[in-house]
Amino acid sequence: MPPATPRMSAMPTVYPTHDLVQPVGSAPEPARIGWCFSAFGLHIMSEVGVIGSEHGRSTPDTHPVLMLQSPNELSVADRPIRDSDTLVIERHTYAGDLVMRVRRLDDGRYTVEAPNHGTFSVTPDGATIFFEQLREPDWLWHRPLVAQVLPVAAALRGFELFHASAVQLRGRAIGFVADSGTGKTSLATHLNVRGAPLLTDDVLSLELRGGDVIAHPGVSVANIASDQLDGLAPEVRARLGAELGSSDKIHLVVSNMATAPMPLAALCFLERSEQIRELEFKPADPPDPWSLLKATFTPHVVTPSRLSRQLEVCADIAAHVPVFNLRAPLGLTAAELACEVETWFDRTLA
Amino acid sequence: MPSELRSQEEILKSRVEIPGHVVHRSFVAETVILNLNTGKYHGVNPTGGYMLELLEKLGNVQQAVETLASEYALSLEDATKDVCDFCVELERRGLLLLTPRA
Repeated sequence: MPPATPRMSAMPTVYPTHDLVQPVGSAPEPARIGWCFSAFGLHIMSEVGVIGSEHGRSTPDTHPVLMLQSPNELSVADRPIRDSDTLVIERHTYAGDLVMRVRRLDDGRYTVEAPNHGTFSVTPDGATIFFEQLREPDWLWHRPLVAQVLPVAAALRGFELFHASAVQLRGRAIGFVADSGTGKTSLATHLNVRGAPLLTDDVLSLELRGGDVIAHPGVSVANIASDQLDGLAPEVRARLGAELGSSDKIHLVVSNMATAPMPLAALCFLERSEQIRELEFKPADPPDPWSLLKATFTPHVVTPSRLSRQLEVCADIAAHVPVFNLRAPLGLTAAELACEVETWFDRTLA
Repeated sequence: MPSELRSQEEILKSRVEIPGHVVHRSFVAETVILNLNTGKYHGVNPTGGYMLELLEKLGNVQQAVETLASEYALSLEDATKDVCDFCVELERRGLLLLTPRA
């Protein structure tokens, strides 16, 4: 018989934010939640240190998220899959071993299980993240945390997410949307090499605020294919950031990160193929709503408020943010492309 | 009764309402309608977007037909067919409510 599932009503309120000041019931002691960091617009207070987090720093009151060790009764690590769960992502190795599974449970929680990295659950309101079975070294469990867990929490907390990398140019954000493997991280990294602070790698968090589309910094880690760093002088490579570890990619702690939210100045749909002969910046005029909707991240978060917001943010981008199709030949290196993009945006944003 | 089984005359006499679970946003070349109950997006061209705006603003089919006919220089017959077909399709997808006027 499967273990009893905690009811949804009991969950988001187990550790409300004010417990940090006045612990109630089984809430953790404030001293245990010593690590703070901001990512994707969330202000996260955590029991464990995450890359970029600081111990003892206070965080703004807006969009607080607690990150806590999972109590036994909320553990999902050994919870069997039930018919009432919605399986949203499941990836295996060729040998059939589970790499990652994302489920939406019948009580509204989202769970992310990555057996060699860590297991997480996110409460239905996105206000609390529970973790368990974190694997060392830390960057191993940071990967699902950054790639899935925090984006799910951000989507539940009112942010809209795009599958995009972004940098800061002239004080504003430029986002690069592309399918995995197209080179958005390489482009953003090489723009970073040229001095543009990295805003985010792979997941761009957006918010509508006062008529502007605001882009929020992600986590200060970039996952980049090793060959994309070939040819960089050692001192340039060192300036880029320290290497955390490597898997199919190199995981870097990026030194030059944007630290504050900023208006989204442009969104580029990056396309690279052998058929493209010349670099082309073509305004998407008008922007295609379906391309924008398809570029959103965590499509499995389908609460009515998220869906409405998704449409609203896409409509706002189409109306107010220049959207470009950036088509580049495969023969152009990421470093060369970064140079062209920087020049072009310097001219366009001036 | 599903609107496809109603006569054009009955549809013309209907009140129109966009249900609470439906939101829509206009883009330059398209209007996107989202059914929050199903999570499905639906796209209509600018003419469809304008019809939807009229139906929502005026709240009844007859007035929407008359306005459309006047603004697009259509015959009442053509405008009636276009708007009624549009209403039937939207209602079938759960994006519109048609109720008989008292």
